[in-house]
Amino acid sequence: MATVPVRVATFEEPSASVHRLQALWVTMKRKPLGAVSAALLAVIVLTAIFAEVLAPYDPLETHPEIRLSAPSWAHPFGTDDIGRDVLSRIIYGSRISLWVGLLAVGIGTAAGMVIGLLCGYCEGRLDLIAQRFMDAIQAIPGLVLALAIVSVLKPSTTNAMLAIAIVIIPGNSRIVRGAVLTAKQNRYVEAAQALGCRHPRIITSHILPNVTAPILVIASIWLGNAILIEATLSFLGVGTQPPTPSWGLMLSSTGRAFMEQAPWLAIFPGLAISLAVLGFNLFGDTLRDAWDPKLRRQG
Amino acid sequence: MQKYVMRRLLLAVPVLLLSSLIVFSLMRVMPGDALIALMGESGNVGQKELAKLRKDLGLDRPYYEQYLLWLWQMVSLNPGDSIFTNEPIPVSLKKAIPVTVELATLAMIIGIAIAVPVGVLSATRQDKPSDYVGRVVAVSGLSIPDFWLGTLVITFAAIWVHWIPPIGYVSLWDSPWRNLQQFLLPAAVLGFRLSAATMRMTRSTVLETLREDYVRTAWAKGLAGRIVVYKHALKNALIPVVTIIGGQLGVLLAGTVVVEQIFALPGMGRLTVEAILYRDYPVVQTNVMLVAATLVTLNLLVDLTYAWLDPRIRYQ
Amino acid sequence: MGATRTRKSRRDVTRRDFLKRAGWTGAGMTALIAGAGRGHASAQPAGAYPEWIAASTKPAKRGGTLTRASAWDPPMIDPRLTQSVGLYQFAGLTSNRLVRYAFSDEATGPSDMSLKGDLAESWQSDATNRVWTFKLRQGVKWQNVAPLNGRELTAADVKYCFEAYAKEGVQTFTFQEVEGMETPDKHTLRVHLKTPNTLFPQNLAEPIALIFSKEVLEEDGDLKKRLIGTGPYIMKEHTRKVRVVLQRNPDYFDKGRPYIDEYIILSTPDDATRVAAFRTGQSDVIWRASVSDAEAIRKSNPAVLVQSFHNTLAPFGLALAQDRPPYNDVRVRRAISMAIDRQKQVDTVFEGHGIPGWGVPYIYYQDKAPTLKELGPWVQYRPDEAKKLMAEAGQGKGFEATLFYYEYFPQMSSQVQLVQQDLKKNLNIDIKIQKLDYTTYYGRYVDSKWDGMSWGFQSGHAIGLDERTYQYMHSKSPKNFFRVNDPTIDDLTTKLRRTPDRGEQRAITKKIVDREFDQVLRMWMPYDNGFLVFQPQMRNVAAAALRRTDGYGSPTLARAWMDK
Repeated sequence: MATVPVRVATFEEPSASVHRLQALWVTMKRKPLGAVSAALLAVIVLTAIFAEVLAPYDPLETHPEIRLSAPSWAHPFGTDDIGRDVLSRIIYGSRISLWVGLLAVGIGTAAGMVIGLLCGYCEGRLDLIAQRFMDAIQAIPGLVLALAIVSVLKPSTTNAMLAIAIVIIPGNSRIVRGAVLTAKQNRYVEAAQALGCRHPRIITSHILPNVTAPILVIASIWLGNAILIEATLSFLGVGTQPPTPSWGLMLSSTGRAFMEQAPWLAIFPGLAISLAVLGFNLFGDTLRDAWDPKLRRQG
Repeated sequence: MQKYVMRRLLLAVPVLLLSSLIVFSLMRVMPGDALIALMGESGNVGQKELAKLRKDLGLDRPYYEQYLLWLWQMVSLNPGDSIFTNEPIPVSLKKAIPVTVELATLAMIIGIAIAVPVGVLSATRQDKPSDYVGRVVAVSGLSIPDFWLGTLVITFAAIWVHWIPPIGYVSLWDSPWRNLQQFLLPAAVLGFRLSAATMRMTRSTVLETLREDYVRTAWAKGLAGRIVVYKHALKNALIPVVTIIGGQLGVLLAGTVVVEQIFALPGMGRLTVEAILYRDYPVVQTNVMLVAATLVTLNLLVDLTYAWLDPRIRYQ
Repeated sequence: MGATRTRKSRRDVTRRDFLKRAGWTGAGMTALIAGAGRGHASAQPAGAYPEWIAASTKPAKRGGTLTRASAWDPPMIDPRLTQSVGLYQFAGLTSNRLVRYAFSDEATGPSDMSLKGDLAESWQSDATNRVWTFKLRQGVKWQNVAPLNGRELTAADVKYCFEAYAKEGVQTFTFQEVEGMETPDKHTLRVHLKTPNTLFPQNLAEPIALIFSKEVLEEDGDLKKRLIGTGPYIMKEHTRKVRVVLQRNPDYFDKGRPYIDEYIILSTPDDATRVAAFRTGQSDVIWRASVSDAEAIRKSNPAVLVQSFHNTLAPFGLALAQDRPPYNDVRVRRAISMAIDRQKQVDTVFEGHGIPGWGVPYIYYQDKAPTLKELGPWVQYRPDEAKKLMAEAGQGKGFEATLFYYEYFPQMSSQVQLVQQDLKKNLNIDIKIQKLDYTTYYGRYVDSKWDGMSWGFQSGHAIGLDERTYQYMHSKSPKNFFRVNDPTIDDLTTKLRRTPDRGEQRAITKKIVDREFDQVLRMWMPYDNGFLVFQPQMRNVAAAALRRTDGYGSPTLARAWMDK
């Protein structure tokens, strides 16, 4: 898992989204790795969306007579322990992985943002108590917490993602809170308050834009981490349920069990996971390069 | 500064209490209990016997009583026994902690040994091919699941090199050579992942340093100047590296869970995970609290170092 | 069929050969993929691996250290409180029972279920089968470890253990049958049972019915700290999650034995690591689940001895909550059974080497393993009949159900998913799979309140006929996890206990099995007992039916030796 320490942006003019996208585009043009990662992610997203069209077979259809077949023209990625087409499962797996990532990171980020915004803006007792809760959750090692949560709920993909979301929330809330605190010191906000601007307006137009950048950077990297954690939870026996074609389940169960007889069962899910995480991480780097003003100066 | 430290320490107490409550509740809500795991598919235990066994293990008392008892045990530094194995928890901790500490330390050494040179190299040759290679290799370190790498390593070490680390943990003091043999591969697996995050951090801080004017001048001056630059860049790179090590500690601990299982090391990770799976409440609670307290302390130390180094930064 | 096969020397199978076959030569993915495998794992001819490695005719050599990388770590070493194989993998060697099953150098083959005396020299029952008299061996000494210090074993020691087992713990069921015991002299134990049971000695031969020390229990208050017995090996070291070290007992009553000086069990939770340990010689015994698993080891270590662990039963089956609708309707059970293609599973998942599945070890009622045809109409794959029967039972539209299981081995997950497909395709039963961790899974069993389906475990490791019939199937038995509730079964299993004649026992057992299959009281699923692989120097290690050398069958290692 990566934590990228994001230096909270010193306050600048509220950047419009267009400005941000432009900055991103420029960065990608100048740094090919960024473009590559964006392309990689695009491939994954498109695969997930068009899985029905792309997959040559039903990922759940079993043909035990041809189990553990090596890659061939009929089955370019081979077949698994009960004769299902691995390529089709990898393709549908992208959907699961995206679902995994988006749910975990989506909830974790959204909840973290809300908590961070409230804490940072309101400060005082609410802040004190809420932050202690966040610290308490964060003090428990992430994997252990996720394992415990999934063991309590019934093991499933969704529950694994909820567990990961809970692990993400404290870190996110802290970052957002820090950004809010810094943003509040800016003159624009003081001016807006003096003018009688109402709180929500201040939050949305002045504070939120400054917070989105670091959050999106973190989120993009957590998307990759979520996939890895799901795979490890499957390894520990409490992750996705069969017959779901999740890359993590494929890698940790059949991939390891039949590693010598059928290495393709591990190679392809492993590659898929690695490429996805790679893509998310590099893209996160690119976002940071594009949006972090300090780094922007470095060219 | 002192006020800051006192405040942080005082705040740590409710945090730890809350953590303990969370863990306690989670464990109690999990289906099944240690007795089930112990029975080992015997299945011939009548309800009466089950009740008696539960009573002996203290599992029939009301939750708040169990919590308070455990809390008292923790505060008086006398954590009690494992339900599952009946071993006193301090005994199992004394055996498990050195294993994980050694594993984590070796992993960090290996990680830094790889990360810093590669990071510096990558930064000084920014955007050149070697930079890209370095970055991609580093990120793949972050992308490959620990358990997969570990399984690959142990399986193909046996097949290709016909050697795997000797199984059956011995401590560093008892048998240093054998011990190092046992830890080398698992530490390398963990270190590889750690090096990834550290390398990227090193790279970006070195890049930052290299931008500074006086550094540019020194660089242009040639070899002597460059040595100055390397020294300076390295020094500056180490500060955030320390930060990231602190941040990576959680990741490292997660990694030890997997690696200890694959390489058969009796460390904290394995102890905790197995305790969760077997519902060994006291062990889970004590272990997690120990780790939580350590993390909280380490975070405080890291924050203090940061605040001391850069007086401008003051967290609330 | 002995283990005499021309063994390829290590030189012949070069690393390159192996790599080529596993497809790892050459750089790059394409070479890797193109070379990997010759299509799907082909079914090995069933006779490729012997089912019995005959005892060596050479005189046994003394000495050596046996090491084994084990999946199991003993939770605790108190035999009253656990039946986990983690304990009995070595408690079978530190301690004795009154009677035992034949060792590999005494047995005629894997199906030899004859009882031999362990601590008892002889035993007999009275005419009513309610009073059993055991004559103990003389001169058996406890291990020379404080506080026993090598004193002689007496009948009172055995009585003490049985009373302790009856009082509390997980073995109460067996010993609560005992009404009372006497020790007319130092070497005689007379046991009075509450009800007649001709199979009682078999229950005492179970690996778990070991004789522990009274002094330890009284001094320590429990048996969790020390394990001292009369057995061939003394427990020298027990480091949790690391190793157990057993050392030869020089005062063992079976003079001259054991042969091996030391047995070290290394705690190794990961399967891949256990295989790697075996390959590099750090482990001398390993169990593999399938033909290709065994083959993979033979490729890298061609000289190893492989025994196909004899299939006498399948311990896993589809358990239905048959005490409630819709499964309480025998037509529903029969239909579900006919909708599952067992032969396909045997041919594919178990590579032709497995059995279609049955619960009571066949050796108790016939000589040869049953074939699928012999098991009756309801286990034949007849999806159309199944549909018709379901419709008759009013479930023609199908329904939803959950199936929970714990993955004991990877092939089980394959099977569960195949069954899911079969039932969906043939009967429109939508199964939601729940793969659980061990404690949650087993907790549901003990609770006995689960609904739907489970990939169930038979609920015990016992070998004896009594346990496999009465204790698992009688409606009042707490070990009845499959929730069998059939008056005919109740009658037959009770009658079995009162039938001393072997021939009649077989007949009654056959009736029980027939009834079980007719009413689909338990739906057994295909299984393969797997393979035991030994390093080439091991002798006398063959595993008899139902007793794995590395697990509950550990007592047989008292006769093992190393030809080095």
